[in-house]
Amino acid sequence: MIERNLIRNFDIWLFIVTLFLVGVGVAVIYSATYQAGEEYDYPLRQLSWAGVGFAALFVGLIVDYKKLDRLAYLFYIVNVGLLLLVLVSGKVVLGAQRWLSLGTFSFQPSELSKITVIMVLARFLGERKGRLDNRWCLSGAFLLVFVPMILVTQQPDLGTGLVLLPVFLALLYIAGVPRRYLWKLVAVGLVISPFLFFLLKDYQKSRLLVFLNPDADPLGAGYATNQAKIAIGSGGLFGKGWLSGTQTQLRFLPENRTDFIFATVGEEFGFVGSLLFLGLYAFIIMRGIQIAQQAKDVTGALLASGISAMLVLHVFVNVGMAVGTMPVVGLPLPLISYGGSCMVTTLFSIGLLMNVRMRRFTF
Amino acid sequence: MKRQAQKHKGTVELRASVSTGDMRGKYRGIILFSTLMGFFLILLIRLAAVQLVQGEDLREKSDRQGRFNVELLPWRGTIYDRNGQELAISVSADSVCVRPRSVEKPDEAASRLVEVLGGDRAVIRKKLTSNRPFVWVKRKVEKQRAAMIGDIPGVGTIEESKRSYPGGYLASHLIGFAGMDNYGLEGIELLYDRYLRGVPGCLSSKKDARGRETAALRRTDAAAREGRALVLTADEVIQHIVERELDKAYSTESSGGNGKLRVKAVTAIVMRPQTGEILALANRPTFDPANVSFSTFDERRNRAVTDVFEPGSSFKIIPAAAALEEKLFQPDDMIFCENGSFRVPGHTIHDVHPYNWLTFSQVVEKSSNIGLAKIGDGLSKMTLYRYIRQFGFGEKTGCDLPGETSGLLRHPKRWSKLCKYTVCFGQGIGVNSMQLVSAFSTIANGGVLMRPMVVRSVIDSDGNALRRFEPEERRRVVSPGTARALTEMLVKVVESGTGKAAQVPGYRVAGKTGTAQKVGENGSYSHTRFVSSFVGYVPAYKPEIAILVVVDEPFAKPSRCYGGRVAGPVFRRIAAQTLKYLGISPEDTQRRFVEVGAPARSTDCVVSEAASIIAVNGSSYYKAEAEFQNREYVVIKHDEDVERVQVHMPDVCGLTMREVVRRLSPYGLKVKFRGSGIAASQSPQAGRAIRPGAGCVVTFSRQ
Repeated sequence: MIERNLIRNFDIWLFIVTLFLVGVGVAVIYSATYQAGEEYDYPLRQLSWAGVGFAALFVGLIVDYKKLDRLAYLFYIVNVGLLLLVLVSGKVVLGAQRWLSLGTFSFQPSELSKITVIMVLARFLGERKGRLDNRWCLSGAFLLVFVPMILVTQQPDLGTGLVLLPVFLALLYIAGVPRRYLWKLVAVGLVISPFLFFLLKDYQKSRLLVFLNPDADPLGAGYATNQAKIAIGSGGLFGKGWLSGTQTQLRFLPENRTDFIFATVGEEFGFVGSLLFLGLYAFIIMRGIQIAQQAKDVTGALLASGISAMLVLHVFVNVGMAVGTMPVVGLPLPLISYGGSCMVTTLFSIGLLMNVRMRRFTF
Repeated sequence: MKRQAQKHKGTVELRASVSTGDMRGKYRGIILFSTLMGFFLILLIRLAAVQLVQGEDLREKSDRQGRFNVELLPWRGTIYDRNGQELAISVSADSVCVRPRSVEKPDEAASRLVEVLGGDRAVIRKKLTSNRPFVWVKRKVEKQRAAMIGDIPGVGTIEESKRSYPGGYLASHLIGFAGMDNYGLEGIELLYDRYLRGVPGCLSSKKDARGRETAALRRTDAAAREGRALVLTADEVIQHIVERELDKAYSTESSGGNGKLRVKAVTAIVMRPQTGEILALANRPTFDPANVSFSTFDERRNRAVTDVFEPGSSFKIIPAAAALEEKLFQPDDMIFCENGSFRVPGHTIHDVHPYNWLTFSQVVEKSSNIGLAKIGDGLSKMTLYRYIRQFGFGEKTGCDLPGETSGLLRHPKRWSKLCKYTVCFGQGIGVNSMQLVSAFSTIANGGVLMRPMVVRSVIDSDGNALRRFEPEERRRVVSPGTARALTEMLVKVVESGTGKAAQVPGYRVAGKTGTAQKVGENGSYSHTRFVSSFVGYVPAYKPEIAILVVVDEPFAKPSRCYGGRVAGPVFRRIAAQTLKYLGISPEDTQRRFVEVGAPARSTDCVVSEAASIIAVNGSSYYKAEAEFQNREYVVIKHDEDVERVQVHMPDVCGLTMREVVRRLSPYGLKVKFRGSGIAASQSPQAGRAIRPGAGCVVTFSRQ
């Protein structure tokens, strides 16, 4: 299955950057969770997740994406099924029902839904190239996104739910849907979004309000944002150094191994370090767009674009939460944040990116 | 090149695969890429704003976050007596504290702490389980005891300084005490707190979000600066003498009619009259400054400055001084004392012993109320009031000891007619002990009111003086002549008047007794409750110490309550020991020798004086002087004959100057020579009665 030229086209730089980010992520988690006596707990678990994740990466690139894409609907249905299962019998952690228990470890189907939605849309839109003027076709695509989005939002996992929409838009755009449809979609979204506010849970509402007025409740809803901002800002140009961030080490930062891990990055590595992190992500995104442009077919282009958009949104929302440009919706920083589901999903997605690139010349 | 080509080819691929058919594939890819990179740009700008622009502020915020400051209490300065003996020092002690959040087994820990430190188990357990981050268990425990606690999680010790008073209750009222947090609360500890306290240092440390201290982030921002030390004017030895004597006086129980009773309070002050320095000050009841909480307010009160009492007869010296200074009377002026009963408008003044004619001096000496009333008659109310004020009554003495009162002195406008008389013998006026001893010091030093001093200097820990306090003259009250005349009267009081009990062998004492009835509940004078006092100074003509002793409510028969009887002996014992300690050579005070040849007038009694007597009686001057040097004082035995020996001025005319010196030396005269050659005339004339120490002029001429 793996031919020579495929190996030659293996994107070694993308792989190295990914590996590097995962490695640095483990180091950041070590710092963020440091506690004498149990300082290796989280990093070791994260490392094992990374192991699983890299296995997923190779799974994602070995099988031709076209063959994988044929299974897109199956994946999609299984994923929706899992999401339903979560709502029925998921494990509740921190007030959200996101996890499915699988023996000793648990798993978040909502993380998986991001890549399955991209895959199913790539399949759906790829099959209908040239017929995308059709509103039924667009409605069908929307439905494919809408079902998992609602299920995910119900958990509640607002962040993942919200990431799906822009990814959907990006995919429609790349698939060549005329712009008037896209504008309409955006307009409709803008019109109904204020009403969606009332569907939010109280804590989500307060997070949004705090985002609009950061000083409203510095010890309550605004605490995390406030502390994250202090942490990042106090890092200054060069940071306080690994393991030396007082905000992190003194545990003023909540959730600093997951949603607010970038605050630790900003505090300990400073502006220069943050820039390096963003630069590495930008490299992956650039590579993703490049792969999309070089893809031999629409499916590949859509896969690569969708994955790139998904990664950008994760980075943007996650870092944005930490620096205060986004409300606290709870999205992990891909490759860095502690958590297996996200790690495996992201590495699998990068595997798919490499897959598309490797097979750009094979027909 | 190859890469470029690949890219180009790929672009074509995408374009070809996009089904819209137009050439927008590449365009859409670039738009998407730009949009995505736009997100990054937003983050970048925001990061720069937060980290670079607001970085400083936020860094400070993060620094402040969880940072807490602990004041490092400085060591309190030592208080020394005038000779460098430590009266109050700071010693190291451990304070046991607990950080309840780190306590694992509160029950076990509580048991252990109770075992070592004592106290109530429930209280300690409550502290261990408190929800505060830090609680004191017990402050300032001895180090060894604190070490016995051992290792209990969450329980620790912090070194603190603890005030310790090596002398126990020695000078406790003067020194005062400092509280648990090393702030002066009473006495000199309070008065000079700003010097003693030192400057607190600051230690800052960080707490994590859960309120636990992070030892690694602890830093000392400023070290504490030890307090300055004080050198008092007080002398530990004299203080000891006073304390011991007051203990005796205070513990003396009378088995009078009401069974065993105790003196209510005793106060004594020893002052150096020339400078106003307080050498000792003590009160009974007293307290232990190291265990203030066990004492009552009554015990802690510094009665020497707070309590106001009617001085009684000792105050008579004030109108006497006024009358002499105003030249209304001479010491020899005769005053008729009405045989013990003198009617004034609305009242009759009585004397304890009836007198008819007394000289002015004798009035003071014998403490005749009637005599004093008549002396007062000569003074206007305003003049009397002015002198009373001049002597420092009715205002604070300026010693600044906490709690000082200014006494009770009404303005003369509000004096009744009787009041003017009673003030003259010390009734209807309230004074405190410090004022009274200052007034007597004024007479002792020749008429200048000094500000009482308690501190000589402030020194740093290396012993360098940072500030010296100099004796301060407040004002001249009377002329030296008046002071001298008063001293002569006061000497008589002790020698032959009411103050005999205060006589100190070997020294001449000037002093005055005072006995005032206390005002009872019904507003009239009590016949059982008195304040007895004795104030005086010694040696009378070259005073080194002025001493006041006040005994509040001595429980004895009224007739035995006179100041002389009660306070006099205390004065005597304090004076005798203090003089010996200070190394002040005794004088001979055998009055009768002095009176030989110089009746009625007392003068300095010095070695030469006694020696001249011996010389007259056939002994040698030199032998007498030798005896003086070997002993504290010499009791020269005398008989009635000696007393009547008249000493006559020898004839020195025709002698050379050297011969005159030799001839006159045994007589102890103060000889003045005029001219040169052979003695031509002399004054007094040959054969005149002379007294030792008198002046004598010999005129020489060359013929």
